[in-house]
Amino acid sequence: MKEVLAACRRIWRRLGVRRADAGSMAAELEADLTAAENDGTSVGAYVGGDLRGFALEWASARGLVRTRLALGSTALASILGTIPGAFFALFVAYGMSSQAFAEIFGSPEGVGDASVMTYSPPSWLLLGLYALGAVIAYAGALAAISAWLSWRLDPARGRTLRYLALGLPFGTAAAVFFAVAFAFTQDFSTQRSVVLADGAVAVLVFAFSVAVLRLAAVRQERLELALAEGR
Amino acid sequence: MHRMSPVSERSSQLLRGVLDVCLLAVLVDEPAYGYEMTRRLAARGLDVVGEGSIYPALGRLERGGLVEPFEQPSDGGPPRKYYRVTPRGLSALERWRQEWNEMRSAIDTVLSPKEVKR
Repeated sequence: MKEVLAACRRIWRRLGVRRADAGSMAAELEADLTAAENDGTSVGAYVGGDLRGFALEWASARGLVRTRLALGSTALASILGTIPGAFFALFVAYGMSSQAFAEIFGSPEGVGDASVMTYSPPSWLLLGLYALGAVIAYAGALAAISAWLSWRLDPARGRTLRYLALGLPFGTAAAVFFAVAFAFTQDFSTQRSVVLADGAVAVLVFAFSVAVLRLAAVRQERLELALAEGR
Repeated sequence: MHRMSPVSERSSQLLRGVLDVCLLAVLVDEPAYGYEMTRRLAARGLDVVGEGSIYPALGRLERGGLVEPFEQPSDGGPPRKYYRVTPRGLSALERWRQEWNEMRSAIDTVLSPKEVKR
C-alpha cells in the first residue's frame, strides 16, 4: 500500500498538485485502501493497473492539475537539447580545418621546400553541414523539451511543441541576428571574453524566444480550459 | 499494458457514463466514504467498480457542488473523509434519473428484437 501511495504522491507532485491537496487525497486513499484490504480486496485490484492514469484522472477531475509556466526549465531544456547540434557545428567550423583532419582527408601541398597536407572543403559541403547542424540543434531542442514536459505530465506539452516547432526558426534567426550585431559592435574581435559574451547573447536570445513561445502556449491552454469549463 | 476484453471495455465505458448518478443514488440515504460507496454499489449488483474509477467521479461531483465532503472520526484511526449529497445534487439526481429512464426506454426499443418482414 505504501508503494501505491508514494507513487501517487510522486505523480501529483509532477503534475503540480499542491502539497496540501496531495496529502488530502493520499489520506483519503490510504483510509479506503485499508478498508479494502480488511475486506480481502487487494490494493492492486482496487486502484487498478494504470496507477498513473488513476492519479492523473483523479487530480484533473478535482481541478488540481495546474498548467505551470516553467519558463526557466523549458528554456534550459531547449538549450541542453541544442548542445549536440552546437558541437556538430563547432566540428564543422574548427575540426574540419584542423591539421589533424587534413592529415587524414587532405592532399599534399608544397610550402617552400616542404610539403604539408591541407584540406579545404567545398562551400556547398560546408553549407550543407551547417544546415545539418541547425537541423540537429532544432530537433534536439524539441526532443529535450518534449521529454521534459512529458516527465512533468504537462497538460500544455502538445501545444508548446507545436508553437516551438513553428516559432523556433524565428527564435534562432533572432539569436543569430543579435549575436552578429553584438560582434559588429565589438569589431568582430576574437578575444576570448568577446567570443564568450557573443555566445552568451545568442543563448540568451534563443532562451528568451523559447520562454515567450512557452508562455503563449500555456496562456492559450489556460484560456481554452477556462472556456471549456464555462469560466 | 493490460487490455480489457471488448465486453468488459464496453461495460466500463457504459459505467463511466452513469457512475456519477449511481454515486449520487447510493449517497442519498446516508453519507459514505469512498470504499463504502463501492460496497453499496456492489450490494445493488454493480460490481464493476474497480480501477479506482469512483475517485475521479467523486472529484467531478464535488467540484460541481453536487456532493460535499466532511470529516468524521474513524475507529482509532485518523478522521475519515465522507461525502454527502447537496440540495443541488438532489436536483441533479432527479434530473439524471429521468434522463436515464428516457434513454433506457429508447435503447430498449431499439434493441428489442423485431419480426423480420419476409
